Amino acid sequence: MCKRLVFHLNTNPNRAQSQKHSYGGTHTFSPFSLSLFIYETQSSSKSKASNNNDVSYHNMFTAHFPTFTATLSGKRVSSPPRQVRFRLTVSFAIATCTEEQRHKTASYLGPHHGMASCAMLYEILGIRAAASGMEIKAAYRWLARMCHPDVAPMERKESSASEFMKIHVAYCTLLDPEKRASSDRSLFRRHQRPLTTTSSGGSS
Amino acid sequence: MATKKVKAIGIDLGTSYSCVAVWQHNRIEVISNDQGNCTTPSYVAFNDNQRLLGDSSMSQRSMNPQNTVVPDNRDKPMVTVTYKGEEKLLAPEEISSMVLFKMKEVVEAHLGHFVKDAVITVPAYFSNAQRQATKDVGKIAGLNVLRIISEPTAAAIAYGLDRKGLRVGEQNVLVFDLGGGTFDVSLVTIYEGMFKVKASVGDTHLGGVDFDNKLVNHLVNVFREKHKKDISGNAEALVRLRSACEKAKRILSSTAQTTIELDCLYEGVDLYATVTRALFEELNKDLFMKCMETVEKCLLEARSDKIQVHEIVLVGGSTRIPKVQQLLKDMFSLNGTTKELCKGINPDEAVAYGAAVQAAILSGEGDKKVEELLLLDVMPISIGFEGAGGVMSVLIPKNTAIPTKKERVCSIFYDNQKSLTVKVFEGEQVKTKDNFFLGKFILYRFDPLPKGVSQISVIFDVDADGIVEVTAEDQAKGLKKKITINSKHGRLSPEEIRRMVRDSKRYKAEDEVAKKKVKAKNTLENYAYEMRERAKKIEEAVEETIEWLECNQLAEIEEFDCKKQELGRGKGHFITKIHLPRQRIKFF
Repeated sequence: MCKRLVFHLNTNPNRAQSQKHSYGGTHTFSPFSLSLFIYETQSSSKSKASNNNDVSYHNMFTAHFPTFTATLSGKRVSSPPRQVRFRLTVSFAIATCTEEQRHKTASYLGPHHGMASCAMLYEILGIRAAASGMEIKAAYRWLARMCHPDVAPMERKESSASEFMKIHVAYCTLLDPEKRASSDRSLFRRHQRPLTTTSSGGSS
Repeated sequence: MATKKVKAIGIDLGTSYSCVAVWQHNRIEVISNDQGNCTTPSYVAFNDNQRLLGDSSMSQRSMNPQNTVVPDNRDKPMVTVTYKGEEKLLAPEEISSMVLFKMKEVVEAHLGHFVKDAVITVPAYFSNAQRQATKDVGKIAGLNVLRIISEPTAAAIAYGLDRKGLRVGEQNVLVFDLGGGTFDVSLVTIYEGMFKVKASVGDTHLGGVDFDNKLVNHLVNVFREKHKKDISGNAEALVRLRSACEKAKRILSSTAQTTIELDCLYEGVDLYATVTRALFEELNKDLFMKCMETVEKCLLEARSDKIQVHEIVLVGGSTRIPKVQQLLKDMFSLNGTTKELCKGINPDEAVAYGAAVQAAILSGEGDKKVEELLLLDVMPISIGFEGAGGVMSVLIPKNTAIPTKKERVCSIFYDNQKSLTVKVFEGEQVKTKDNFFLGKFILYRFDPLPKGVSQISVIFDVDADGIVEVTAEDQAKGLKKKITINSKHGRLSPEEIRRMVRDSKRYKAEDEVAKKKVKAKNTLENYAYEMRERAKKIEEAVEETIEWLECNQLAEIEEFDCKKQELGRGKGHFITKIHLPRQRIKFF
């Protein structure tokens, strides 16, 4: 319980910071940086992911998601070039500790895209928001077979490593009940209303 | 033959024994060496005439203990040997490269053509530096190392491929790898040809040689108490004793008791001792329990329970010790049900088998059965950089799946700081000074700013091979600095590698000369024996003809001519070689 509490405290300022800069539209640097991180570790496999308490929440996201092939194609198209990504990173000047958060930051272009940012995890794996643990694993295995550098076709060797990393981060996040719940809550909250919390300062 | 594709091989480079396998005839074949053994001793011997590799180095070990060496990858000491009357200083990498060279020769002799590409296995707990060093070893031996993989992972591949058609659903396999010099435990999930490492834990200083040493020390003490003599300083006596203890250990795996008899072991005194399995188990009790603690730790790191383990695969010769098997079985026997250990996999060959599978995958050969396989490996040890106060700031925790990429934004520590040093470390300790230093670089030319204002991104990028690339970037100026971690600390420099490659070629050339000398000697010996046989046959034919003449003095002219032709024709090839003089026939 204490661990969980610490996790939440450290997540909110990060998100608030992101929100603020988006509205401001400025490219100034923030002195803010996180002083404490909980390192992401590889989640253990469980035969079944625990169900979330809020059942009605899932009904809102039963819409069909793209197929695997379309997902891959979409990923390539929507994934910005490395140079652009760096510029976005410079603009927001946000401390990130996982590729997942980095990805979300890079994709965050406005309040209406906030939902897409969290939903991206499901889209990366090509699954619906209510997917079970088994479905998450199956999707991961399918995509890993196509994207892992060891087995990717020659023409995609260069980009296969980063593609695999995204898939793996999405898999680890959604398979861990706590991380998934946190991600889902974030998604749900943004869907309800945009965040207006002001950032709190901190220093390393 | 000329159009045949060059194959990639899998090599299990072990502390005590090594093994090689290759994909051939739509399956993996473990290759026997010139003595017909599937495993080859990881020994190298030097004498006044030549260098010896493999079984021949092992067989003369007792007579030449000072110059018979085994690669010590645990402590990396330099070794001095006398070769052709000269003293030589050898690095562990150099000795290992000779073992790899031998394995390369073994498989080339079998296939009938050269091989270049290889997947080499290392203990799971090998650090980044040790894996890099193993790549260097392959290079020195003339190999292109496609991948370094962990021994338990290779064994899991062997298990998974062997049982592929029989299992349904996800399997959690615990790989218990107890070899000659190292010990590893890994939990691997296998599902439809996909191998995912969940956790690897190990001890690079635990293995069969440690069990032998317990027995050696015990007998040294017995000898001292009984005969008031200390043999611990005598190299030849110790080698004989250690060899006998190793043999006794193997015998005790299948019998309850054995004897060690060594005539004239030290100063004319014999050693005669009865060793029981119970004694061996008592001497090694602490080490066996250490193995079980490592298993517990692996399950903890994988966040799995014993009940979730479907299969336990034994790898390495030391897993044949009955007590080890019993302890494992007891540990996993829950709720009254007895857990059986998987014994379908040959402990000595599984690792090379799995390495050859991975080699076939990476080189693009092999058939559909192999193409469907995929190995998802993990970082064996945490990697990070030094933070304020010398604290280890972990960026990539151990057991993180690779390839992976992590980023951290950090600030300068004091006002108007103009440069930033990034020091990269490997290890699990809180302070960097207790971890292993991998490398460093410095980012220069910052604008003067108060502390905490400047933002530096530090990115760790690990590829599928486990190679670490570190980049630091000043976000304001777009200033970038990058380094690929080729840890210089404790590693060979490029010049040293080049020298060792040259030395390797020279050793090879000298081996060729020695081989040719032996071959020429054998050829002459065979030729001499063959000539003796031929001479014997000619003599017999001549004697027959002379006897006939004595009995047929009054024969007709035609008969004499016929007999002559018979002698010449029947043994014609002898005549043409011996050049017998033509006989003149006289008439009376």
